[in-house]
Amino acid sequence: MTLTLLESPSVLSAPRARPPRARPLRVALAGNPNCGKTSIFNALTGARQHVANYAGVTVERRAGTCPLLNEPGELIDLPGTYSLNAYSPEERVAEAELLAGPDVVVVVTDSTQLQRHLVLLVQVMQLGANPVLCLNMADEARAAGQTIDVEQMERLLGFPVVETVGHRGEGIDRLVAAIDRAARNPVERHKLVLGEDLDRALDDIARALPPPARPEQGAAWVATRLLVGDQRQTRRVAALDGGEEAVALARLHRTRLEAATGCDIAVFVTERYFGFVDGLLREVRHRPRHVDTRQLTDRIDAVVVHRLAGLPLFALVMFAVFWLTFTVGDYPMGWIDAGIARLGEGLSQLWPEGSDSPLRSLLVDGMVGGVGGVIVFLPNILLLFLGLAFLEDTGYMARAAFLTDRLMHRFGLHGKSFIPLVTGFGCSIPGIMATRTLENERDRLTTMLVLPLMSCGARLPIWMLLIPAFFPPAWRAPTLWMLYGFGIALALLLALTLRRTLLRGDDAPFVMELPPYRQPTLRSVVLKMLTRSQVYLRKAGTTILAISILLWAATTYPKPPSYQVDAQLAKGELALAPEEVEARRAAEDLEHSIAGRLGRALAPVFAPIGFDWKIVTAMIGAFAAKEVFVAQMGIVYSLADGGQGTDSLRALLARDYSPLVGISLMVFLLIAAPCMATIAVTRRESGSWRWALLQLGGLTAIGYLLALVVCQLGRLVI
Amino acid sequence: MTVRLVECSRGDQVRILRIDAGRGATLRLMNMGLGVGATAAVVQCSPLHGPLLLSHGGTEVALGYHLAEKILVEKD
Repeated sequence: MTLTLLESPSVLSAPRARPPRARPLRVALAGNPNCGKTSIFNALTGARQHVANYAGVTVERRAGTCPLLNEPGELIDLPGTYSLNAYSPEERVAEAELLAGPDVVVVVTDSTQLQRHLVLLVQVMQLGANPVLCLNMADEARAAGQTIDVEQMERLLGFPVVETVGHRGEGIDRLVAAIDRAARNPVERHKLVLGEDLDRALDDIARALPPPARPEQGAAWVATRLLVGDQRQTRRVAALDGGEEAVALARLHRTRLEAATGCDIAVFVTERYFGFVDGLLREVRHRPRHVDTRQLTDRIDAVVVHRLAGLPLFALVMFAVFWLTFTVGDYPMGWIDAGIARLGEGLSQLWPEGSDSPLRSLLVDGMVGGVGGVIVFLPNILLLFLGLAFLEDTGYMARAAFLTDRLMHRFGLHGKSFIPLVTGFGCSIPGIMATRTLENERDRLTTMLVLPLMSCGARLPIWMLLIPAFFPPAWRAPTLWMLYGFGIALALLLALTLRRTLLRGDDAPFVMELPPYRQPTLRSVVLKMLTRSQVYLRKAGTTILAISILLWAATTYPKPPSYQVDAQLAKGELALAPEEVEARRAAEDLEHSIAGRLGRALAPVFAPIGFDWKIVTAMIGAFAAKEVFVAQMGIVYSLADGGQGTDSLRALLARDYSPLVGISLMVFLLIAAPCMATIAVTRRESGSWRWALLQLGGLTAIGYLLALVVCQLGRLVI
Repeated sequence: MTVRLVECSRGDQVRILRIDAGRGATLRLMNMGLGVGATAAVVQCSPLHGPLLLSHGGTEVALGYHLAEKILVEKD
């Protein structure tokens, strides 16, 4: 139904006064996904932005300051949502931010998709906000032959309307001026017409609202939420004095309207939103009939998501991204490694040679070594994020979800689970953060929980040490592939189990808009990469730094009162080079330390899966960061050079352990105890320790059991 | 001819007659421009109960098989 724009005085549009502001101007950016909102946000704030999380939910909160405005202003980029129907965490967050009453709400729309995108504007108007309408991607709309009478639109709506081309910065000056204008002259009442029957019902309910539930702005919104039976608003209003009456009235109107129209009330209301938008567009938009702005996209998609060629093509693209990540990333990794080594040496020189100052050891071995071990992976992370941001901005990533949906569905996952899982091969941390794109909480948790089974980059040094130690050359490459494959298979199986037990529930219906293919801009891709890696770096500076210090203490203290090797040397039983003596001392240090004792204490637990105290001690280190296992093994075996993947360490391993223990060790390290940083991120992203500890405990138990099976069955066979 | 959306094949032009899904999914479809009465083209359908790809008014929307099962369309 198409509605005409009429003014009707009602309680919903009563004039109101806004108090003068004594704080910075608060501007919120709202818009559909794929409307180019982020490019507008970037153009307004530049680099003056920061990303955080909303408390308790996994929705990113992006905020920044805009220096262009007349008065100091804070910008909030709301998550992209189609509506404010509160069906996803993003929609709930956006609704809450808008209810908090920002001074100006910029509603960003894709000019080629106004019919759909303006529906959000209608809801923003119902909320009584003070809007500025931004018609973004105006160039594409013009190219398709569409013209908008902006002045007429401003007259009809009663607030500023601006055309922009966000990614090229066009119209940003006009947008800034419009925000200033809106801040000075807030809209007093919205001219919103949703049809006589609906308007009357909403007016009726709004009048019945008890005063505390009737914000000066947004009474129409509260009334609408009551009418459609939104549980949270209903509960909130019902708890108020006199609220029951409004709730009962809303129920009455709902029954009446549903009986009259024969359709679900929420569907009916949404139809009226569309009706208002149709009426508005009829007055302001001129375009030739039958324009297809999507011909190119449709043609590309005929190949890219082809039922047969689509998946192989996708595999090739992913392979290219990973190949680039790891080959190009090797160079800067070498530089960073050298830089960290030099920093360590430089710091060491502040103390006299041979000093065993604990502060020196803490700084050099604990902090520089620990944090450095994580920073080394930064180039890989940056490159992987760069590749993924590029694919995302072209529009290809959304196709990946489409292509993999069927396969993922079999295992209780979702098309959108695929990208986070693939990211996990680089590092679990950004992978877990990438699960944010999943709308359904159960899908998100399942993906998060099984993600550490993707063999991450930090585990590669372990495989490089262990595989050659136990397997002949011809078997090495297949063994590595089998390890990766085993991880994937187990992740899928576990996901299926989780969805059938703990995370049981209906599948979220898979509906996803595939954005048109676009040429990405360097600026947007680089910004995306930087804001995401920021979180990783911050983690290295906080969580990992703290863990490194703890671990350093655990592997350093208490010190043995004297060294056996010194005693032996004094007795003349041994003749060793100075560095060998150092290495023996380091081994004795470790054995005597908390970690060493813990290793010995725990050894009986791990005896059934073939591990001795040396392996267990090294594994304690691996819990901080997987790759530490290699260095710790080197220390336990008192190799002078730390034993980073050296042949001598491999020879010692092959001497001391059977290949069966080798396999059992790899199985355990692949599955069990994801590193501390992963647990910390899972805790933050899932919003509770419960899931983080389940991940830790569950994976460790499964790793132990499978290693036990390998070990015991192997012993029977051999 | 009235059929379920899943019975359509690549290249078909369809008009949506009825959506028997839950409220959340129905609203999400409407927000994507796929309410009752909307016309769309089937761009791609995947084998073995995979998702469908619809093109409508300049938007491409991917739909899971189970949702497409609940949508009744008229195709010419």
